[in-house]
Amino acid sequence: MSKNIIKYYPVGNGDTSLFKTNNANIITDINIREVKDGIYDVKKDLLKELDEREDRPYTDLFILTHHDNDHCLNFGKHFHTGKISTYDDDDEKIIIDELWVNEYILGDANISDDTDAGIIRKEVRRRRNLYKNNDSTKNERGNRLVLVGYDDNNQFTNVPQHIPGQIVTEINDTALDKFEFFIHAPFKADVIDCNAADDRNMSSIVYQARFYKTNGVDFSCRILHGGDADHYRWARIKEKSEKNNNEDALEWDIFQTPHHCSWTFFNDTPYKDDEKGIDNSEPKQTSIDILNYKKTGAKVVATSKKIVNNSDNPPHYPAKTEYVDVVGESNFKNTHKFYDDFKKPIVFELDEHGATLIKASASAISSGLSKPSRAGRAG
Amino acid sequence: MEQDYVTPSNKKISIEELRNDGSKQIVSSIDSFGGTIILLQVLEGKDNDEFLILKFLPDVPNDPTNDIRQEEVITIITSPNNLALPKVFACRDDFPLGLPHTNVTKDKRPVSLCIFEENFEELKHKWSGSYFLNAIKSWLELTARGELHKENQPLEPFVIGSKGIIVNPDDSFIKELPNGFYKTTGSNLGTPMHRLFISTSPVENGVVHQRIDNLYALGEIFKSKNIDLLALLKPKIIQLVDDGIRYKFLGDFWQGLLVLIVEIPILRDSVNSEPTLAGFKINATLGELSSIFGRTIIGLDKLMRVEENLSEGKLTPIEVEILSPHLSLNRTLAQTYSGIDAEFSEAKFTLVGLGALGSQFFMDLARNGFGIWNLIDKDILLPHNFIRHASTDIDNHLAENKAAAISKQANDLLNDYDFSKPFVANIYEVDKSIMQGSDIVIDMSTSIGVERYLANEIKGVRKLSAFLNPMGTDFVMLTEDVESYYPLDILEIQYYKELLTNPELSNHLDFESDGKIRYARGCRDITSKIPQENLSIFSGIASKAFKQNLNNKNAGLQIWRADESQGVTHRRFNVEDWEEKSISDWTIYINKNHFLATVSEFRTDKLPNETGGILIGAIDYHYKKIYIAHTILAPEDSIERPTLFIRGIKGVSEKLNQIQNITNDNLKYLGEWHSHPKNCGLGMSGDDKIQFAELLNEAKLNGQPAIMLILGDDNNFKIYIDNYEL
Repeated sequence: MSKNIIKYYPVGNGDTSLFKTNNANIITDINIREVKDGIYDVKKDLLKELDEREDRPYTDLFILTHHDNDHCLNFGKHFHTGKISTYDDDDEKIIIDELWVNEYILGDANISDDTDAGIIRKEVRRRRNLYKNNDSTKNERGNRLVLVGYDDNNQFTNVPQHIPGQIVTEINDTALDKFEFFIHAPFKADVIDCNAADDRNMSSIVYQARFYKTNGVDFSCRILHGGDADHYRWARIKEKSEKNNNEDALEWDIFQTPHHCSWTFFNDTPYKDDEKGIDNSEPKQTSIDILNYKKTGAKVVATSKKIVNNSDNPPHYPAKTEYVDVVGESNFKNTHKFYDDFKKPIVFELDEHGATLIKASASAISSGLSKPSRAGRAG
Repeated sequence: MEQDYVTPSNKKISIEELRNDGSKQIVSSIDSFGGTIILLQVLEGKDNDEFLILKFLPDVPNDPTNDIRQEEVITIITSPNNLALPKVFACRDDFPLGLPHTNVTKDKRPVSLCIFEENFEELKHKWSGSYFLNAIKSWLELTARGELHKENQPLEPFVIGSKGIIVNPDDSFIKELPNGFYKTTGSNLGTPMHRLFISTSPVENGVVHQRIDNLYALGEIFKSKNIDLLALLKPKIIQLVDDGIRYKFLGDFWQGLLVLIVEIPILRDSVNSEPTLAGFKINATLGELSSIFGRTIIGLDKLMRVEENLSEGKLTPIEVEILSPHLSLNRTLAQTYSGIDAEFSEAKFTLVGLGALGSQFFMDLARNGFGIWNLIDKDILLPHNFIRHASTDIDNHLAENKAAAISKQANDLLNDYDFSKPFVANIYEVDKSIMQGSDIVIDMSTSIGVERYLANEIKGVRKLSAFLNPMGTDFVMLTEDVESYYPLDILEIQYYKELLTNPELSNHLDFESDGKIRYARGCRDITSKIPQENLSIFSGIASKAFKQNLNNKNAGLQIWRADESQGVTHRRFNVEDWEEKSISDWTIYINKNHFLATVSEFRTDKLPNETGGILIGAIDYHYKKIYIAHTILAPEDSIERPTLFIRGIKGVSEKLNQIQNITNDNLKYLGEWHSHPKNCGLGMSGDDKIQFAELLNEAKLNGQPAIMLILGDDNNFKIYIDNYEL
């Protein structure tokens, strides 16, 4: 595999990210919109980045933080579901070797079958049943399923589970090379909360992903990724991590803003409503504390539409201001703004110097890495 | 090039108004950087300079080695004439100082970036706006990673001066050279310049940015690196003054200026440092400086302690010139610059023969600072020798001994009088222990006598013999293995055999291009018509091959040939094994791989008949050695029967002539061999005895021993010499 990279695609208010580690490609969430002017072709880029097995693109791992539409848009169109034997080569769908979900995908009663969440649920059930029935193919790539967090409704019998506080060093029964996850959430309480409140955001998987330098000891990059988890979840993450001496799992070089740079990371919403006498404009100290676990030169990545100074939420302008206060303007990056400026996704390349945000496009044609466009009279 | 920054006017220039070609090119290429370079504004400077103020967004890591930021404002100054590269300055107030590849300027800020190592004259052919912007962006990105200064690049000096000083740390005085240079010297004739030497604690890699022109500024620069230079300087000056009084030195001593050499270890990384030198000429006399540093001299024989006064007011008027120091040439420096690694660099070599090849070979290695040498030659340099000798100093070296002249030349060059030692003598007169104490003895004497002497008389040391062929087109190197199991004489005989068996080498020993052979000459004498460039080519090959062969324990037989288009072909021959037999006072060497293999195969082919042929080889009467190297197989008019063999004569005469021509008489007819059938002994039959009696007569006539070899089963053979059998 090529060098380690972290990629955040410009998908408006939504999440699509890709980690390329030494021996695994990992996608977290997708929000793949129809390609037209001004919309970046995420699928095309994914196909370029992913490896192929028997001429079929695959990802070693797909993490669905939660099943809100902006985290799984067009999943059915672009990802293969069902047995591998049913793969249709004409569709160019991406095979998911191992799938990570939280409990609420099966606990949520408000999913209709024809939505992307419904398609995922069906696939989760299919894979789950292999474990439940102890099918001999359950551990094969394309069938593997992992529950992240707790199983509140006993829907995931026999399914492997990663719980908060756990460090995950292998996927697909294969050790990850100089890369690992620390699982932060959902806690049991989060699972209970989301079921009770019918709130998918509360169920979000939160992790710290960490790349090691070649010495295998120091980290080259730590990424905090929290789906749409709100400040209550983060307060709990902070409390538990600190209590269990896992402060290092809170440290970050890249922080992906939860819920598309919304205010929910900092406090309750609405932000302020003078008429109703609501004022939540003071950020919770626990959230600021989380941000203060930043390392040198750390970057905040706001995965949202362009952030302008209005009352939108998300993205929320005062939220951006809070982030900028912590990392400085030049270290705050918005996927949409970056795409406007540089015509590309936000990409960090990792090496012994840590993460380097790559703004410049490499010359691809003259260096032989890319085909020139078609030429000739017939065109 | 002057890199000082002069503040521009406030007058803004629009893109349409740009006049300088450089500005236009830079501005027009900004677009291609996809938003990573943004033009902020253009201001007008004096003399129509244009100040392009740009924001660069370099790709720098989160935690850079040097503090280069995600955004850096850079000013590029272009001038109307296209005679120099635009100047580049980093504008940020806290842009790091002392980075590698930054320029020396009058002021600390803005920091002047040194974007290219090449000068404008070289660069202008590939310079374009985007090339330039790209180079600046790369400068920022590589500097951020601490990778701009490559690991194998030498560390930068602490300060850079336009003049220089050649430093030999052992010298106490300074003398002036042309072009504003100085050199340390051991002599204090005339008004001396005093050399003071100071060592400091280590500092980070990176040039000092500011120009230093007085003693106060010098002290301040060192202070910024946490080094109190004046405190280090003071005891040195006091010591000099006290000595001057003690030894009652006269006026010249006190009128002498000071040159300060500072050894500054520069950190390559957090652990390793490398010493560098900085030189400063202080334009004040010792007398003047003494009072500033706390001594007043009265009447040249007394002094008074006074309060030192190192105030800005006192020090600023004292001018300081920066002298870029250059170590005087020595063996270590020569080794470093020649890429010589430790092994064998201190080995002891004895070189016999300092003629055209030997002297050039030696000087090649002397310039490497390679080895410690004994040089043996008895001859003197005559005018024609200078055409191809490594000495070109005809004024001083004419009629000088070759070894002595070239030894002095090398020792002077390396400033090292132990590097080589001449032995003005015939090799036979030189104490053998001189050679035996060497790691290898190299024969470039072009004398077979010398080579045989070395092979037979100098034991316990590896030897190598190298020479050109008479036409100067081929170069031969014979190298013994480290145990001298394959001695030079054996390698020499195989070399002749190779000339016979490799048709392309049959002209190797031709003396003139018409192929005529002149007799009564040594085959290593070269014609007087070889140009120096052939010696250049082959002495270079000799030096390289020599170093390579030192690292190889095995014996070697190599021939290089330069063709008419200056291509050089290299042949390396497998060194062949010889069987050694002694009888009476003779030692006989029989080539196994070629001779025995050939005759055995021939015998097998001819069975059940007997067969035979002629023994070809060489005899060394002095050392009583016979070398059987080659054969002429039974001519077609031979008679081969199961119980008899009569060697024919058809073509034999021509073949023998050819062998003698090709090997310049070094291989020739030695005797006869014939085979016995299967399961027969190797004793002489009645017929054999009759033939051998004939051979004995013939041999007496030729003044050489009679030799007969009888070959039997399993490569077994018996040799008969005169009346002895082996």
